[in-house]
Amino acid sequence: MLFHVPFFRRAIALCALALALTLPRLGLAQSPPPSTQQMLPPHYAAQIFSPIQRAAFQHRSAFGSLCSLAPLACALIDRPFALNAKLELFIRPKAPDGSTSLLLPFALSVPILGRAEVGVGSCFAMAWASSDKSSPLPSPAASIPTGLCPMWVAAKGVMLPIFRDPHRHPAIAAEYLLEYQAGPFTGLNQLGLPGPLSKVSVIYRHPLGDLELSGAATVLLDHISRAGTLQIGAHAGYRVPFGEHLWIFGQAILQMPSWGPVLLDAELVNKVDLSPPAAGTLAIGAQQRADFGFGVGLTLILTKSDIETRVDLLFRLLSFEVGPHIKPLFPPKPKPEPAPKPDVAFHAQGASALCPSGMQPAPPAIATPGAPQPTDAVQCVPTPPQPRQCSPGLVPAPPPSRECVMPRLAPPSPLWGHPCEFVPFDGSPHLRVGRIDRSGEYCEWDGLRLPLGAIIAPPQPGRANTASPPPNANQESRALISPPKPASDRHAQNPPFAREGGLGGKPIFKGHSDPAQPSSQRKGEPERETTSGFPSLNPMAAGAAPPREAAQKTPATQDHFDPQTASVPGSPMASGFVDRGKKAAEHVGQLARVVRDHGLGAVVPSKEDIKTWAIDLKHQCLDHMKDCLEKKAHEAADELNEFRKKSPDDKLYTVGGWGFDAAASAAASAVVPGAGAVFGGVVRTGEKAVGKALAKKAGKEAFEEIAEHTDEAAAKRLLREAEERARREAERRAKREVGEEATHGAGPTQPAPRGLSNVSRVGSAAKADPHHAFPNLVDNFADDARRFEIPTRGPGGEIVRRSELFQVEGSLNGQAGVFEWIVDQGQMTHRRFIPGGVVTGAPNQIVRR
Amino acid sequence: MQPMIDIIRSNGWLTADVLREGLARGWASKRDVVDFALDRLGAGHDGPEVMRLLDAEQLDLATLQALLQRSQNTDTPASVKSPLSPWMYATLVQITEGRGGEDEKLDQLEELYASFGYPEQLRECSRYYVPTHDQQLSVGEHTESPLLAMARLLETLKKELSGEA
Repeated sequence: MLFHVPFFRRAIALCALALALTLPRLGLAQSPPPSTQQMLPPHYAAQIFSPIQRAAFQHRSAFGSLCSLAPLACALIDRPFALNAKLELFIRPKAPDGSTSLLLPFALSVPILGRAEVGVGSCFAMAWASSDKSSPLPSPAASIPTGLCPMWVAAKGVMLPIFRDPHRHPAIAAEYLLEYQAGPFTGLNQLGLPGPLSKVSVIYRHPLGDLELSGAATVLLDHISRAGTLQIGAHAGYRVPFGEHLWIFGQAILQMPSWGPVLLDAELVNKVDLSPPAAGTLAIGAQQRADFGFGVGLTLILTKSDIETRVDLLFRLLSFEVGPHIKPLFPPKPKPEPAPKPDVAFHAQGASALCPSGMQPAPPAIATPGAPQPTDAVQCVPTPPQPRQCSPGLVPAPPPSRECVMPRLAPPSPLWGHPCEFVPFDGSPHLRVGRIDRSGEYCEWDGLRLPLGAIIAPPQPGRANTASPPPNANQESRALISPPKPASDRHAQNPPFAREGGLGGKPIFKGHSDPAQPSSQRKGEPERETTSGFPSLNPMAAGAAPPREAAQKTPATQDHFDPQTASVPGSPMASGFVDRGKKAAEHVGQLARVVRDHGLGAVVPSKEDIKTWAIDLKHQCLDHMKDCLEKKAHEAADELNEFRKKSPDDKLYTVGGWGFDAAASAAASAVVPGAGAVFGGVVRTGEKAVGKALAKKAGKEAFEEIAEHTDEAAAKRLLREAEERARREAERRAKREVGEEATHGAGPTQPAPRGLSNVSRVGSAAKADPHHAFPNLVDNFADDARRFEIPTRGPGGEIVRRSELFQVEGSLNGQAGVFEWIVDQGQMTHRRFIPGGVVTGAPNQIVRR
Repeated sequence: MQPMIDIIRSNGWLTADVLREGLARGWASKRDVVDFALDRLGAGHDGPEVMRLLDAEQLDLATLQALLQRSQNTDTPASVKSPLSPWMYATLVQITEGRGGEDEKLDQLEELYASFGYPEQLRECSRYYVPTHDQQLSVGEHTESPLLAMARLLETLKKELSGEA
């Protein structure tokens, strides 16, 4: 208890003192109570200068080795240790009272570990009256002081952050500066008053790269008169990208409120207000910071107060810093190394002028050693070839020609025109997706251009910027369809796929790949190579594609330029994109359905070409197979999403957001670290000896390669899942086929042909109404259609042949029914959706409702 | 070959409904609508719809459809129960009178079958139709001729449309 009483007394006394010092005097130039004047020393009033003269002492540059050459306090402190010295010149050119004053501040400071800094300093002040007699000094009796200012000592420290680097993170610092008259340092303080002064600042600094922002609040208080003011300011500095530690900065400072006593001058019978004027200050400057070296700076300070408007000039005449600097705080920008000058002696008179065109003087090293050197002879050698700049679309011709020529086409890939397929990793049957382009690196599918080897991941709901589910891609009838289902599997979860065999390897979608159609051209993109397209003459195309691809942008069907079919950006041919874009978008929808139902898969050549392609791919990618596949996966995802977005008709099928995305690249990393699974996925579907052999080998390789990688666990899990899915799929199909056999017996059914898009449509099959022109997507499910042979009559009623009738149940616009088509003498003569229909084996059934 | 609209008109089956159906399916033109309006005007019908139909070539299809719907004849033959039937008859007449070979006529019948939405009455005219019990017929065996079925349908249609059936 005895301990607590003195503590509380002291605390209360301190609080009372603080209140006595501040609260009664707050405000704009508040007058102290009458008793205040009695406390001032004798003759104090006689030493007070006019407000304008006092204002001349107001600003100094901030304390600290790394602070800007401006008044606002700063939180930046050098490290680890250094001795910083500076000399400045403060010029107040012409005050309203007619005087011109100079201030020469000088200081020493020592920063400590970037977190604290102490320093001492003072200044030398001088002023002289203007020759302009029209503005006499208001107080002639008071001569303008010349001499040393008070001495000041200052300290500041970073309070926050504690553990992080305050130079690179926002920081808060506090600073205290005391001006004290002692010895020869007897001048006026920063408030222009003849007494000690305290200056307390709180600073916040926020670094943003080469930009620094800070704010500070400062209180200046004269100890004797208790006059003072509050300064609040903001600072912005930018380290310019040239020079070393060269900064430009700006500061804005508001000085208010101010407070101080009003004295009565007995001789002049005037009141003297000691409160500093309310003022606003703007400072802009440039400064070379002395970070282990010398620094200079210049700042322009504009001050507008209630008694004057003035412009001050602040020069940093010299600033230097010495200390055990390990490194500069702000590393200097790297300077370009000066090019070494060749140590070659040139003959006078310009030796090069003596050589003919295409030749240049030989350097001395070329001369034969030991041979006599003629002093005035010049040996000429051919001028080495210089890199040539060619117009877009042209390439330098081989030497010795110096001309620019049209690029020659690289030889086509041996895989050119061969079919390519999408192979789900779950072992499901593959989907024919077009033909390999001339470069042998892309699968071209009616304008949809997918890199061979690309892993395609299922569309992700909500990933696309359009709101739509996987499109059913009914571009022709513009009708909503659902996948047709085989008669025996109407409720199967997965839509059926094209099977191996059937039409003997004919492309499922050949009908879409009409070579007569112009190549696609997308706005703002390089021209695309299609099976019917031509090499791009657009330089952007070469830039957008890998060098090898760019070099091999060639037609798939011919080697010469055909203006009738070439697609040139901006030409009317570009409008061909509209139709081909639709088909491509349709294919995107087809792929979306497959990957949605069967998971990851890869775009690869058919199994007959897989070996050739694999060798080429491994040669191409060498030891960065994963990056190669990731790149292809990204490219494929971009391609698919792009077409997905560009098809206006897709809006017909929108329900929710979806989109292919770069998840494929993650899949590429995890599943195919060595691309083994890509090959494995392909050959798993193969039934022939080559396929089986490759499957065995590639599967083994895949696991071996996977085991060597860090993604081992994930990859093994994914592969196990794929194997499991493949097994289930095989079982499901086996059951279904057994069921069909039991239901229908051998019957009239035979293996269905692969796809029907390659069958030309005639007669009613060519009609464009929705019930006839149901989407080509249905063709993908031709394998699941029941095939019947039906008698076909001649005009006289005789059975002249048997045609093929295909029926598969599905739905159109939400209405269940049967899709049926007839292939008669190689042409599709009938194509129809029958609402409410079922598989009957006879065409044009009458549905009784 | 006589145009379909003339076949229908000559048989007295051209009503506003029939014309409207033909207009919708592209078998009749705006000029036919003007002729129809002139016929109506000549028959003493001068209602506002008829007067507007005279300007058919300046009107859009939707307006024409609406006008034709409002200007249904009061003297429409009761026998024309379906506005499609006259057109089917006219098409069959054209196929019958056409110069093409028999195979070509079969192709045309297939298209006609599809164009009319696979009506049951045209079913036997399709080359792919065989009775259920004849599905296993082999090449060379005989069934009824599709062209014969077409001729029979023509007769049936004529009787129906003429009110003789």
